[in-house]
Amino acid sequence: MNFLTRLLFSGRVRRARRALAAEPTPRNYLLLAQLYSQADRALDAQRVCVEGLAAFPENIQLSRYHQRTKRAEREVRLGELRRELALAPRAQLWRELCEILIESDELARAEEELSRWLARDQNPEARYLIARVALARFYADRGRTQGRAALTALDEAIQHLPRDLRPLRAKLDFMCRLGAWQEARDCAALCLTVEPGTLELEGRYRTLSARCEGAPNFERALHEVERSGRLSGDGSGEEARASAGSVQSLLRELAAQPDVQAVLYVRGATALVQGPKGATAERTARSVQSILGGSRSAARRLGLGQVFQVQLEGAFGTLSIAPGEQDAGAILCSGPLGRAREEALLGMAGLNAATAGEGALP
Amino acid sequence: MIAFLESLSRLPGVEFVLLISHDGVPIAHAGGTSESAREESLAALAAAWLSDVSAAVAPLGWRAPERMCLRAARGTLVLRYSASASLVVLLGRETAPEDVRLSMDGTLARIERARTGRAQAADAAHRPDHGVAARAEPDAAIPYREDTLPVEEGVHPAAHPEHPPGN
Repeated sequence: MNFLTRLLFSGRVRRARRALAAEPTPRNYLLLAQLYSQADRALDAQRVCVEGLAAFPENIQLSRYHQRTKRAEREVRLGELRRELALAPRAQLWRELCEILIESDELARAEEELSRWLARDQNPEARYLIARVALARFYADRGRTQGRAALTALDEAIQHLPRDLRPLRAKLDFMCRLGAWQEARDCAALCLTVEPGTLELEGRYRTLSARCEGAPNFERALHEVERSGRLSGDGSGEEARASAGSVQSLLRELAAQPDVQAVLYVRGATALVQGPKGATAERTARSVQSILGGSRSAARRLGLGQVFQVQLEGAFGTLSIAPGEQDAGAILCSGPLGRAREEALLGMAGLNAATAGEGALP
Repeated sequence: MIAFLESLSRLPGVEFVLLISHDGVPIAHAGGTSESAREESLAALAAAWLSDVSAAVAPLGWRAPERMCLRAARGTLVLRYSASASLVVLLGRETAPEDVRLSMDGTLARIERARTGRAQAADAAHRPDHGVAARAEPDAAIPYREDTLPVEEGVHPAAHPEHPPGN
């Protein structure tokens, strides 16, 4: 960035800071963070986002921008690591690179880097990271093939790291999430041989032993997860992140558009509906839930993985559904969906908002 | 039929093109590998998905959707429904369903035209007046062929089927 541009930005940043001081709104926080980003001050941008999110925790735009700044920072670090690896490759750098890629869900890139690492030196740490990639794939897709691949990778990692608790714990969590309690108990026993006397592991072993009777085996549990798409413990212990209010305002905003017939937010067995009323609203919500279930199941069986969008077009108009991990947004309009509405819909998915209260369907 | 599908399968990003009947039987396919197991499973799963969605929207008084897209992590499935068959296209990760909308509509229209054209031609050929006069009864749902009686060399067909020649 040249001197003139920096001077120009410093003036704009000053004005944005003054505006924020005078009126601390989410929009002003966002404007200041954007200006910092444009001026190559990523850390300042992140700081402003964090401050804004502390004041307005439910603001979707701010939280999305915060994620973007974090992603940009991650990309910078990835570039540095790659340059360093080209000059002097070593295990610590490979590990950091692959961990960043796994955490940011870039599994294909992580796999490429891991195979390069393994080709260079047969580091057992790489085997553990391969198992983590396979597990991430399974948790996203919940298909049988991915589940078997994850188990193979985990067993291989355990074989190469026999005194390391991490792959064993990963396998234990995997079995528990599947609901294969017998295999989970055996795994807890293995963990105890590595770290005997750990109270938490002993407690877990006892709980798992109590659950073993009549529990499905690994293959049966995997089949059940592929069929239902639900892992053990899904939707029970997780807190809703956004309130119903923030979603309802988004729904109202979308429903106000002239050709929009209905906007829905579905989470678990409940839904928020804007547009249709009474029995029609209930029927529409049930249909959306049913389409979503069928489409998720079809994608898993077809080996397509996690569903991002389902769109139906017909004499009724266009129904577009954007599913998140546990929730989904849906919009029914008489004309084409359009880019702006599609983006709003995709933003709605993954909010994990509470759906209790007014407008929620039982 | 395959020629129609092949032009669609040559588009960038298109991995597999399949024409299926509404009950999930593959009619023709183009692109990808020639594994019949994949073709059959894709046809069955796509038809099952269409059936699930049609059943889900039926309580709303909607007919089966004309076009369905399923965008997922490892690709996109687009299904275009018509009265006689469904066209299924499997796209790569980088390709958007909108990129093949026009081509799919065009391909399906050509298939429909070819089908109705053949049916009408067959129908007209079998009419005694070559299709000039209007018939009293409506067309059958499925075009059929009226086979002529088999004639062996040097043997004339019997005037009455219950009295075969030589008896």
